[in-house]
Amino acid sequence: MGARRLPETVTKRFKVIGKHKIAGVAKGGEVTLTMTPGSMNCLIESGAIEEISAPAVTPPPVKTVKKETGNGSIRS
Amino acid sequence: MARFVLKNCFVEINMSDISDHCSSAEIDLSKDDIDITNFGGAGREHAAGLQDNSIVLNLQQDFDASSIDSIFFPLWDQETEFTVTIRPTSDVVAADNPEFTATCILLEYKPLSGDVGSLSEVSVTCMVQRDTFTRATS
Repeated sequence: MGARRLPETVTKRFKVIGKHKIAGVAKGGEVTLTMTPGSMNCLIESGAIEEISAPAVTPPPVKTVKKETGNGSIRS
Repeated sequence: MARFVLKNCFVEINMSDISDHCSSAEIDLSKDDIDITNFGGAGREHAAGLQDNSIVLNLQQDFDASSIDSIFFPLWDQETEFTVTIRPTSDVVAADNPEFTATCILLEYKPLSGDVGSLSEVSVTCMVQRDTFTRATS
């Protein structure tokens, strides 16, 4: 008989937005939680925490290469 | 050993500290009673079987966002296992302030119960899953 597979946990960072302390952190603070995805979803659904998203990465500016056509005009 | 009066018991459900909404806490530990009596004696003989533990909390209901109902309803609705942590006081874990922890499931939930003019309270029984109940002193 095989061993029972226990739920896997994930680690994410959150901001506490609810009225109750989360893992000892009060409203407005940030907390790193390691939980099962199911229990984490319940905590998010309760309105206690919101995930801190990674800062948006600004794409590098696209360089425009201008070519001369030979007839005096410039083609982008 | 000093006698102890419960004043600031620490109660945490799925990482949420709900101590300020909890008016009573009870940890029920039991094991199935297996009868192993045989012809070798004149009395019954018992053996411990499977653990069947639970944690019973009496809570002051609160329908605010992120409070009692918002915490418990998703746990019942989504049938999700969650962690329950209880200490006799809110102080750090120590030999004289053991921390009881278990992974539980909520099979029953009564979000509204009470009489006219009375405080809205809710009793929840968190059934401990498998052998996840622990007692830590450090």
